[in-house]
Amino acid sequence: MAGPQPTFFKTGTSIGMKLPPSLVSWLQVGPLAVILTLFFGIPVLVVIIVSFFDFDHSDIVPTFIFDNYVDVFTSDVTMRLYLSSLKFAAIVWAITLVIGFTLANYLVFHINSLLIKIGLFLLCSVPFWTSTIIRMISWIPFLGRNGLFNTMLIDAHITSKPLEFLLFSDFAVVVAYVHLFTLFMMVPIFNSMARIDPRIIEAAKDAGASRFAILREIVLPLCKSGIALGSIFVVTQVMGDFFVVKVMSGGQSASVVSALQNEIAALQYPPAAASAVTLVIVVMLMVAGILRLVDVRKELVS
Amino acid sequence: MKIGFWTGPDCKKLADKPTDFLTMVPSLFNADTLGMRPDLVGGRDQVKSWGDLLEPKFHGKTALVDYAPVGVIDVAMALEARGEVKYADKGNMTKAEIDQTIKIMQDLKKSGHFRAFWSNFDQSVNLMASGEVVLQSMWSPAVTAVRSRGIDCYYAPLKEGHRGWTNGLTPMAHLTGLKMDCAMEYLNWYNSGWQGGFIAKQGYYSPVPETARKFMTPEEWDYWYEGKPAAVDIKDPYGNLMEKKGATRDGGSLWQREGNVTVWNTVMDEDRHLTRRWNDFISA
Repeated sequence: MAGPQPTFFKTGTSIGMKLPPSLVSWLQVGPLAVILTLFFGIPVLVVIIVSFFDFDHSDIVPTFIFDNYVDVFTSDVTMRLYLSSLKFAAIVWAITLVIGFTLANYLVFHINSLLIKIGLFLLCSVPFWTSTIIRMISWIPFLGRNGLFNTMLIDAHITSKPLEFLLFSDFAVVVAYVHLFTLFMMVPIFNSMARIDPRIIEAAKDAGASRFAILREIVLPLCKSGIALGSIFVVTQVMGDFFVVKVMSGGQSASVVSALQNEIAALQYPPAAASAVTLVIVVMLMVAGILRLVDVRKELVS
Repeated sequence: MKIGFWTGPDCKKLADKPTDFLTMVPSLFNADTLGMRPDLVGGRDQVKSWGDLLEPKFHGKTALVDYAPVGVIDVAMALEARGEVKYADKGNMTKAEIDQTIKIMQDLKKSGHFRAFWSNFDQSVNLMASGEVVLQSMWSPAVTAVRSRGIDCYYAPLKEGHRGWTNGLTPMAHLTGLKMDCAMEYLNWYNSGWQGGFIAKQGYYSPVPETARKFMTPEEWDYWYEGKPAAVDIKDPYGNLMEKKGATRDGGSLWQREGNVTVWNTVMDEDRHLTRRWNDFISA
């Protein structure tokens, strides 16, 4: 590019006109604020309003009642649904964390060639070239009673009868979640690991630290923000899911959202809205909890 | 009849006799039963009663639709057939009847009696086609879809009778003028025959059979509506072979099948309780 060096990003001086700094800030946040208000704020507001409405067989009746919330908070089904969703979230979080951390650690510290590093990183994203639904559904013929895996086990004389727990079970749900979400854990961890100054690790080695000590005392603390970001991705996705649970458990297990979806199928929008608002608050509290433990902002600005 | 008509144009009250105001224009109807895999249960005569759905020999190989108003009724049909529960009206259960049914269903679910609860058409087809399930709640088009893959699937006529239902279409209240005319034109087209002829080949009935007949061959009409043995090979709407020459439809003719309906699907008075208890069941 010819001409003077571009200095566009120096607030409002380079293009020849002067904008007051406060206006510049408004212009910068403006587009996103408009989009968020229109497509996120207003719909959420509608859901909140509907959650206080009454309903009958085919109508939503605008009033102001607390019945929908009373139902949510007094039913023991709610507790069971949250325990079920939290159980999946906890198991999937732990597994994706171990796999994601190990993968990132290997890529960052054990591969020396940048080219191979990028190549392997892209390899991890190959499953994402196809849709979530296809990735998940492919497990069904693999894990089924007459599926590939069971046929293999029987042909190899490892079992005599097909293993039924492989499909339409909590096991199948966890397999699909881990497959779908591990990358969301791995990428942020990879990102923060890649920023660790290799000289620190050299110094630790020189000082006689074992590999495990380096991992525990240096890598892990410096990856905290990556782990927190990954955890937010994984936990919120599991808490908000109904499709994986429904399909992979064959409808045998429930989640908060699958129950909510049953209400929508029965045209019972107000109770579904109340469940949705409750879930949003619970998930927000969980995210707030994670952010309280780890200052993610450090990751985003540094 | 009870839900067919409103008392007036802007009214929310159902009339108990025919008026000028339809609640909806009927679009299709059928008499449902259970779908089965004759090759995996030892023959078509192995399932004769709704009660077989809960038969221990099918343990772990049955499925229900994951939709409360149908899933609960299918189990209620089975429980009544087995003499375990007596219902006043399975199509409109009381809270106590719903609770009693769900309680039994929860125990069955915990024991692993059900392999899955399907939530869409494809799932019901795949469960059956893959042999994960041998006996389940099923729609007629799903049975024809499994058969079109060359896999034997049978919509078993059961001695207690069928579960009947009907669907309808109705324009939204805010339509006026041209938009209303378009809606009405669409409704008229819907029952003018093409649609009825198409769904007939999946096993559904049109509320105006005479128009549907124009879009079916005489052999197709005899097979689907009259319950006569197929004079030629019967194809599904997409042209795949569905049934070989000589076979007859489950349950016979339209009159025999619809005349043998034991329970009609409607929105129950205890609808909200039903949904809540269904969530209870699925999360158990």
